[in-house]
Amino acid sequence: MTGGDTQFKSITCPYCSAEYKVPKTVYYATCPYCGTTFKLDSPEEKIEHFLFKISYDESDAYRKAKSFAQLLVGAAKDLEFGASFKKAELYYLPIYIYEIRVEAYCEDLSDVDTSRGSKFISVGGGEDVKYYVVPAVENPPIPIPEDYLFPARMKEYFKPSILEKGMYLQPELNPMEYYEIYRSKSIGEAMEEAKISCPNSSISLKDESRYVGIHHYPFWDIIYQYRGGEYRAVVDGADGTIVYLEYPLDWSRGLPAALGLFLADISTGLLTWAASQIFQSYNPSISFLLGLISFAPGLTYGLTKLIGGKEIYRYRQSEEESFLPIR
Amino acid sequence: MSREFRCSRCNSPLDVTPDTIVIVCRYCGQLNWIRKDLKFDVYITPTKSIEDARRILKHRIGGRRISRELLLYLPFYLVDVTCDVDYEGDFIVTVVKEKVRRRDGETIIETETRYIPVHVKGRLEGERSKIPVVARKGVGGSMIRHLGSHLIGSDIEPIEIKDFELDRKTSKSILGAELDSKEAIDIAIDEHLDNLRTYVKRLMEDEARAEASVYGTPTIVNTQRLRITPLNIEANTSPLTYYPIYVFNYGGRGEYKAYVTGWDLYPILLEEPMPIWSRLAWILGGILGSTALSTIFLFIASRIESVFQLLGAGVLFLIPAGYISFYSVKKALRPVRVESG
Repeated sequence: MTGGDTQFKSITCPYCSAEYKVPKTVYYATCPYCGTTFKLDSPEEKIEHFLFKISYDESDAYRKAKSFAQLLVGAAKDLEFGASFKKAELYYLPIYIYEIRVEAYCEDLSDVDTSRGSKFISVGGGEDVKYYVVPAVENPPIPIPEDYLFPARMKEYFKPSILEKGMYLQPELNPMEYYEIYRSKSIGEAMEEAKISCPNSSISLKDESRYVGIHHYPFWDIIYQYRGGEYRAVVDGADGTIVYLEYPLDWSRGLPAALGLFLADISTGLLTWAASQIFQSYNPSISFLLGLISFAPGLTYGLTKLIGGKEIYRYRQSEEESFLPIR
Repeated sequence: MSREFRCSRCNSPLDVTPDTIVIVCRYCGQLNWIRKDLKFDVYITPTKSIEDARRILKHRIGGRRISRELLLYLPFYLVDVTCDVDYEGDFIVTVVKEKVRRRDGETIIETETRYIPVHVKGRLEGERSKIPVVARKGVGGSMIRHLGSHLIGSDIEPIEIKDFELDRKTSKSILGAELDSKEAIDIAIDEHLDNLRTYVKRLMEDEARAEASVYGTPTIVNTQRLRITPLNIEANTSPLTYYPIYVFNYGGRGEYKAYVTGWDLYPILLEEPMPIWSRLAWILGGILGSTALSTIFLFIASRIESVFQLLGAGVLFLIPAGYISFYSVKKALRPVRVESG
């Protein structure tokens, strides 16, 4: 089964019998001829394998990244016309999906009826029901936030033709390792809840967790140029979310904002000094200094975003709506 | 593995995806049910036209150009969960009492700290909530959350999907349902009970605090033993129902996103440019917040002598003062402002 290249091994598709090579590190392989995805050490075990549909093509993604950069404070003003496209690569990132469903019952008290559309439990214990979405490669070639969720968008069946369109990444990580981590975490939470629910009762566990399958998710990795420098943008191909963006800073746009923040810091110092005089609470110079220090975290954060030649924007799911755009 | 589907009338190939539940043949117009299990007892909410949705959006965005439009029908279950909660617990409540004494014509204030053991016991009945569960695996985020909340408060009359007039475009806007009703019920029960446990724990602490307040002013509540038992959990779900939502991208310099519900044309989420006054208002809020907390710290620091008390006051007031400045500057520098309906 081992091919000539030590990094790869030859395998045979259990569905169409085609022979092809895959990296030795992968756990699941997708046949480039018929599209069947199967487990390498157990080829009869086929799994659910879908793709998210691309709604943003190369030029949409580049235009979106450029227009988004213009919303960032301190970014170069002439990016719209001053930036030029250099190259774009489409990555299909493999993602494992796990369904975790754990219920911990107060053993001698529980009575469950799971008839359709209705559920009645006389005494509950603890429970945890979640879906986990985890990148299936150890070091993704594109920077993807850890808490990234799927958008509600269309999916499609895996087609061998996509292998020609972009970088199709094979899942490298053992899906069962992550599965065990999440499963144990949820069991722990459910048991903890059950102990609070019935501290004096023994607890029984019902575990219906399972590994659901693989989805491949499209991301555009774009390089663009601006005044001799190169900048990178990673754009979600399904819903256009800007996941990662390097952008040039323009000191003439960032400087007024930076000066404004310095002014805000000094104002905090002066106001604290004035208040300490009114309440006769402390030494004036210490009060002023304390005011400056209390605004220092804001000033430091602002300066890191406004000063320098280049800044990086990163999407975080947890900051959606509060600090970042919606998806 | 890709699968091939063909029209039941003319045998032409159908462009079926994993989301397809029903598809209209592009050659003969025949309605083909791919997910026959979803043909019955599945409902859909008719949408108003995209022209109407555009008009509503234009009211909010003025002359800015709409660059992209998308209609999606999202599958939801609305799960009604009710339960009772029986609870009891032991707490130690720290109370502080000030005593005023006069000695040699001078007023002396003495502070007495006591630790009061309190036992709390009670039962809540019929704790109910309606929880929207999106029938897609691993999907989340602001839009789903806001759409779910809006669904709960809306007066909607969905119709059975088999009675709905489906055209080719509409059938392609429907996202497949990936969860069944049992899975949706389990998710809703988990959410309801998690919220209830947090609520009951807070309620018990409040009751302990109230009981101890006869001995002085309660400060800290320490939990010694806790039992929160959910009882008589009952959950009922609506049938799987599809709700339409329009996704718009619009803008001029820079691009923004908006979500408008299809049945009542309500803009549940709308990105807008960050105006300069909003940025300045956040900075001003940061200045005032940091100043207020620093001043309180200074006021307290001038009246205490112990180093430990000084450190405690620093943790209580100076760290939040720094966080307020960081938070307000981060808010001021964000790329867009999001309005939620």
